[in-house]
Amino acid sequence: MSGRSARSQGSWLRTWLGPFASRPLASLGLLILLVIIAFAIFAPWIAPYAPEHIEPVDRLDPPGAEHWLGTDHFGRDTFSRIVYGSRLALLIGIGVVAFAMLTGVPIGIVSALFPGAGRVLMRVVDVLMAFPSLLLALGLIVILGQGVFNAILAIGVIYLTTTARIVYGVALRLREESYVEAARSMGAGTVWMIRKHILPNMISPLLVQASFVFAFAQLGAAALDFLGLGAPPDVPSWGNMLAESRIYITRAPWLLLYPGLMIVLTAFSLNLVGDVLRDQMDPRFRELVGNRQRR
Amino acid sequence: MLSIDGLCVSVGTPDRVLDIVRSVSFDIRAGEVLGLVGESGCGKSMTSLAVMGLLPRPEAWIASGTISLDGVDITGLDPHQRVRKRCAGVSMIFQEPMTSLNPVVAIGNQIVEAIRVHDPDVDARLRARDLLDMVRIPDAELQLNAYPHELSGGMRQRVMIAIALACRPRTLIADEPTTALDVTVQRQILGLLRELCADLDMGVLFITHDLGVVSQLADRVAVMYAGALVETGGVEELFRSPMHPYTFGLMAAVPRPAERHQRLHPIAGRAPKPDEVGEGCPFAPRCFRAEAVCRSGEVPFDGEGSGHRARCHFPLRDEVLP
Amino acid sequence: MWSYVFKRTGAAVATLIAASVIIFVFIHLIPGDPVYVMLGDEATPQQVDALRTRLGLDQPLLLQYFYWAVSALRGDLGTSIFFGAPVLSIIAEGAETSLLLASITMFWIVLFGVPIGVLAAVRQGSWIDQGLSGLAMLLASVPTFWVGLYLILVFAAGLGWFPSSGYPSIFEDGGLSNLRYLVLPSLALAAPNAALILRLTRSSMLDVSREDYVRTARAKGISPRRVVLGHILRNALLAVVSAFGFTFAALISEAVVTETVFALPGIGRTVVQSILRRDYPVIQGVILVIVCLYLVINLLVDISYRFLDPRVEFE
Repeated sequence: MSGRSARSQGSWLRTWLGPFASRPLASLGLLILLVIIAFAIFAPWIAPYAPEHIEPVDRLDPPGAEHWLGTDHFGRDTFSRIVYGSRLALLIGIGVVAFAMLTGVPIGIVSALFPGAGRVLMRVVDVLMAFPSLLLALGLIVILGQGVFNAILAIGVIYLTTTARIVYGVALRLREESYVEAARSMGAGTVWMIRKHILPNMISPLLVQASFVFAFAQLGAAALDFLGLGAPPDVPSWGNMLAESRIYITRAPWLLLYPGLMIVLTAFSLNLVGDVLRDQMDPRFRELVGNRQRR
Repeated sequence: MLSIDGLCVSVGTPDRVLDIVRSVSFDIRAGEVLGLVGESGCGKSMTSLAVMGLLPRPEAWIASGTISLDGVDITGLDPHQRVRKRCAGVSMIFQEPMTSLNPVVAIGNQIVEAIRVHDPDVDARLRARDLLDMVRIPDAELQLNAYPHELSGGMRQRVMIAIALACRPRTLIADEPTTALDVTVQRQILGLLRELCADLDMGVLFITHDLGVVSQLADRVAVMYAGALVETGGVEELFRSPMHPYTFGLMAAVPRPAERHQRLHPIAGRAPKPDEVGEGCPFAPRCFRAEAVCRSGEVPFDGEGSGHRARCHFPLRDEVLP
Repeated sequence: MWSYVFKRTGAAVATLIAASVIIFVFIHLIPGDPVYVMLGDEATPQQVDALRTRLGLDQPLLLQYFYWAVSALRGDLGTSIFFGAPVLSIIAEGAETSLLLASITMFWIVLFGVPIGVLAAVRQGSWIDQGLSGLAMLLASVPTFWVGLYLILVFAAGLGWFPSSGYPSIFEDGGLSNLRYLVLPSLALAAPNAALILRLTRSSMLDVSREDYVRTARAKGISPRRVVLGHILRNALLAVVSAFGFTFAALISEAVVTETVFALPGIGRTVVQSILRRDYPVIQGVILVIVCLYLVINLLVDISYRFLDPRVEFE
């Protein structure tokens, strides 16, 4: 019989993966995400052509044996570009989530634990939230310039604000909890309290938030790419593919379908997974966090 | 008269069924208060919801038994269906007056809504005001426009009673209406219920876990344990000489001022959950009089028809007890 | 009640001022001398000096901000580098398109989002509910420009029912029939937002239906339809309405992309073009106006909330 650690690990997995067993749609979403991750990691082996590889003879070919999803106006294979595009999608998602968490969480916690600084910080967050989200990102792009990294920062700032707000709310309530007061009265230091009490309780809501942020980051990045303000034109991102194919959609509708479909599938799967995770959360957290999502 | 006969309520899913009310039978006559007593989880609220037709679907349902009002079978009908079939004579008030009223509608309109269901032609607003007077809310005319959050808990409960009376019910079910209120307010509400019962010749099913309240208010008492009715009888008789060991245990457990410095006498063990109830008498595991026969088979009622009787093989009868 | 209005308005104004500071500062955050940033590297020294003096860029930053802010209050948001015209007039030109687009979109959102959300809630757990909820989540995951492009492909290029781009004003030839130019764009914009409102309505209805007062309503014997509409929906809408301000912000954001897809002469497209042309006065002016509008909408929603929920205390 395995030791205690193995059993508790097993139940950890069961807690988070269990609910998927009864939800076929959400499991499908999880599967799709795994496929996309596989695409990203194994792109050079999965894609039949290099993403920049041009075959002028086969320009605007419909899906067929040689080019499974057709070609674009340069003769580049759509399927290969889509496979490589998943790398960018993952990069953006991870980048935005990481940025939002690494900045938003400390801001939220500090604001909750130190009311003086908190008032100021939350004011700043409020002001940032007075800008409609894409506009904020556009403004930052103007300052920073285009590019994938800047797009990550620009979109990340949007979700920094929502994350900070959520963390602030949760941390405030936790601060009022009697066990935190008890710990304080026993002389517990602030850092210890954060580590032992606040952070562990944040994991659930943050995990849910992360999946939604990941999903909306896809849509935001696609929009920026489409406007020509995100990834540089030669980079095979799904948004770029849509932007480039815009004038050809009547002649080559597959150029519109597949990249867009990838964006939708990614965001949809993440939303599904996020929903399941949220339902799994302790009801107490659901009422701490609330249902507001920002796009 | 409201007759409940052999009512069984179950909850759960098709694969997993729990019986939470097991063959409960009692009558409520006009002008009489029947106190339904039992601890939390014994099934008294579910019984009342079943009688009212408000069982939460699909999780709960009436497995068997009948509920009849003046001879008309109303089992399984929800309140709206009863209104349609013109057999709506039962009303109910609930435990949480703070949350039982729609927060965004003025209380006058909430009462009017209840009136119009049964009496579409009457001047509803006038009648609403009369109802507020009947439940002793001062400045009735003014209060018609008040919102629930502007009223205290006691006032809200009175509004609930007014709503319940709107349809001129033959029977009123009160599910722990005073548990969430202060003691002084509690007395007022109880007094009000007592008067209404007499003035309107209405039967009242008063559900509570508080023996003190029962002794003041009820004419007859029914005791429930683990989903089953274990004893019924007139209030004085039942309090003076309880027949069922559980009832006896309840009364013995009440702290008495005279015994201030002595130990309390709780009943050993704890009440079983619905899935823990086994064969035979549900109280047997904790009963000091239990024998082998108590642990298997149905336990019949011992005692005369509608007088004082207990569901026990060895009921207590004026014996001298420790 | 008025003290609440004053307090809320005061907070909104404070936020606007803070946002305006950010907007003002942002042009100075762009790497390089703002004047060269605006004129490009080919500018002659005379142009540079002229612009520098005209914009007062030789003055201390704080003073510049005050000039800019005071001018803005008077309606002078500067002059477009690209067009040479006042920024305000450029915004005004695009206002009609954008406001109409936003209004029509809101109409679709409420029309589709709320009733279908109610339906899904009432039929919770059934195939209808699962299907609608799944569909809603799907629609919330689509990029509006993709929906827009598809709508163009099917309904404009394909069936020819609607035009695919542009928007002549309703004050010109064609009159109100010109609104048909806004049908496809507004549908594209509405799709993901309606989906979110649908889900919010549904979850709000389900939460409310668990409340005690709904049980009281049922106990009265009123019809199930009355319970749903008069009690459950009436309270569930509180949460939905308070999301409207926030939905409006999403609309403004996404309209930027939609106007680009459909080549609509609105404020959103102005923003994008100005960014590409580095027309900074326009960018600043437009963002300021949009933020102002967003704050006003939120303020109105907050205040009107009082009429919906009598529990809201005015302090």
